[in-house]
Amino acid sequence: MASGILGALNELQPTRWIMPRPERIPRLRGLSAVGLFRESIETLEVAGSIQAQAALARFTTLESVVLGIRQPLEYQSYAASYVATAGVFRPSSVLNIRVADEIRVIDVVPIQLANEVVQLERFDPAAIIDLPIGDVLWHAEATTAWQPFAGRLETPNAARKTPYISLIRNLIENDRISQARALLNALPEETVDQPQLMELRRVLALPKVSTTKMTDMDRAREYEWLKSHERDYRGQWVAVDGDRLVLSAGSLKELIDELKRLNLARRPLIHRL
Amino acid sequence: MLQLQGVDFTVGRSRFFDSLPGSAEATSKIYVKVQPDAWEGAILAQLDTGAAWSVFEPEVAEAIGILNGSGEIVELDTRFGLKRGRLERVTVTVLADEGESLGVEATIFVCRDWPERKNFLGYNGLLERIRIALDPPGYFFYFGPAPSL
Repeated sequence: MASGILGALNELQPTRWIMPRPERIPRLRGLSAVGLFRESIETLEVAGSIQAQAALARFTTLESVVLGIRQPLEYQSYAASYVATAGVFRPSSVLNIRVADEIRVIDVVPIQLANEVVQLERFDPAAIIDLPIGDVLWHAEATTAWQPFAGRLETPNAARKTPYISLIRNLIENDRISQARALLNALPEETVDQPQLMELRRVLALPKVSTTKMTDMDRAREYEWLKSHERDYRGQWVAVDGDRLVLSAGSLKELIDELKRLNLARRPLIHRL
Repeated sequence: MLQLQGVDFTVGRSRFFDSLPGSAEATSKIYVKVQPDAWEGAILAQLDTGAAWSVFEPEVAEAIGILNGSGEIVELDTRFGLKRGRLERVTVTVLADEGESLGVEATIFVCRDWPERKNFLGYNGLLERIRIALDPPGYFFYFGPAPSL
């Protein structure tokens, strides 16, 4: 089935510019396809760094999602403005991107994996294709001249496997942690021993919580000391026990080193004023 | 401690503070005591269920040996803007004044250009497995482990 889909897709000759269409159900070489065939040639908003810079083709069947990319060829920056995001103004420009006609298939992802975890319709294409963004020049002023993408955006191999690490990182950066975890749990067996994925599993694991008999004490007195001496020790790290200053230092490292040397019987409250 | 339907909901409690000496933060927040890693001291960190991850300021991260770690690099959109850093695993103890403290093998976001005096206990990787309750008039913070999965 997969090779039939790949063969069919490789014969596609779409027009250069395609307006986004919500849905289309194609019949390719006798194969029935259910789902969405969707391409978007987007006018991209650039804010400080490129968020997406290529057109991503996705073809969904009953069994799998085929990921393909169109090579970005040229870009055109035609507006310069400032965009407010979370109360901060960031410079941005608008890019048009002209892409190749050919859709190069990079992977076929089992539908179970895609459906369980990943909303591919909303995927950041840069995560899928993992292209470096540094080659696109930042234009302080608008220019209508078409600029070529640099040659190193070309991937050497015709077939490129789904970059799971980039997918997971993308999910983390979009605060979709439960999906990142689910994706890690659903990855193919052959990825289990990959060091980066093992590290991701480690840091994305649920926190392990245990009780301990170790206790502290009410720090009301320390707190009052901090409030009273805020100005006297501004910029300093201090260690306070009750209403008594144990130590102060210019850096936390100095403070900790000295505390270790003192080997105090009681844990002080440590704070930067 | 607090119970829910006859079963312990929390195992410890501590006093929290609603402002931080030396900080320019003008509004009230919840600051609780934690001990990062194997320190022999406690620091105050802001309890923030709206924070995606816990974060320690760079000097604290350096003192517990995770500032130059090898964790996965990520770029997060935070209240202080886009920040590039690493996710690292470290033990954090939520300290009790009464009852039992909680040792948490937590995931912390470590960022070299994180602002000073900004230490947060966030949801993913730490608070998500802790049950918490607040008694604001009494300034008490109650906590306990979430039930096993």
